[in-house]
Amino acid sequence: MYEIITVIFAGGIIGYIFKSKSRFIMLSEKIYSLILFLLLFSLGLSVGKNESVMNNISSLGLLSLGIAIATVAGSVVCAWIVYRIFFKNIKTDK
Amino acid sequence: MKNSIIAILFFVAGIICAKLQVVPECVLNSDFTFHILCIQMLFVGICMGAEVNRSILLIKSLHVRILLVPFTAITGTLLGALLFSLFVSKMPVSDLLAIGSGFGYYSLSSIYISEIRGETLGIIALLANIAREITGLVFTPLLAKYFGKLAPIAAAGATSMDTCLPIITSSTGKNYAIISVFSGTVLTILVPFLITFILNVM
Repeated sequence: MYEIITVIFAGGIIGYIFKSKSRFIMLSEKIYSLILFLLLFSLGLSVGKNESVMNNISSLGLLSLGIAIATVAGSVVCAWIVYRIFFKNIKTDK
Repeated sequence: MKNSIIAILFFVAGIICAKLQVVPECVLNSDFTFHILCIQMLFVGICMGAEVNRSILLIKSLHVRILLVPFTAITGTLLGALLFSLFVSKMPVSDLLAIGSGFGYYSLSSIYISEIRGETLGIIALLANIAREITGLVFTPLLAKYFGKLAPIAAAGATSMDTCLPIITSSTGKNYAIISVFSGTVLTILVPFLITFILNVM
């Protein structure tokens, strides 16, 4: 976790220094969306090689999926309410 | 939406490749995911750094409201787990709340939970939190579109500071990245405390 924060911070400094170089920034955005796919592939690899997960995926999978959906749904509903009340009028652009 | 489908395909391809053992052992056994994540984070950092001025403006306009974001994610998660417990009779409410309190941080939460409550619950925690992370990755564009820009951040939970950050940034706008990192960091720090508290006290 500390490594990740350090790396973000290092990137932040690079980005701040080169913020006027719009082509460099645009290229960085492209690269990070491509790496996302690689990241999911490697997440798949680590799930696939984990024997205890693969052996139990059918019996425990449904229950686990239910918990995931319930917690995500709860978060989304609360976030939607909070967003409408506190955040909607804040002007931000993409 | 197109990106989400491609993302799922890559994930499934990863599982299949691991099963077919076409990937060299050295890649599987190394901290592959983590290294990719670090490279990814470097680029996220660059994009955030380029937006620093606008992000500062956003934090100034948000003020104390930024604290609402992790609080919302926690409240929503626990309410969701509580509601779900009505449908599951074979598990105590506290177990479900503890699994939910992993907030997608599957490695740590599954280790904590299996130490306190045993292997089986640990595996459920692992699967549920992996599923949450994947849900965050896959549905972020849809959530941002229909439920406001905080929804994907709350849905991603602790992973909004790392794995889900890139997709959140691209679907909510770069200046929400700072909120996302803040919320994810708070939740990540809280995971071990909340799990221990719920399982020991309740």
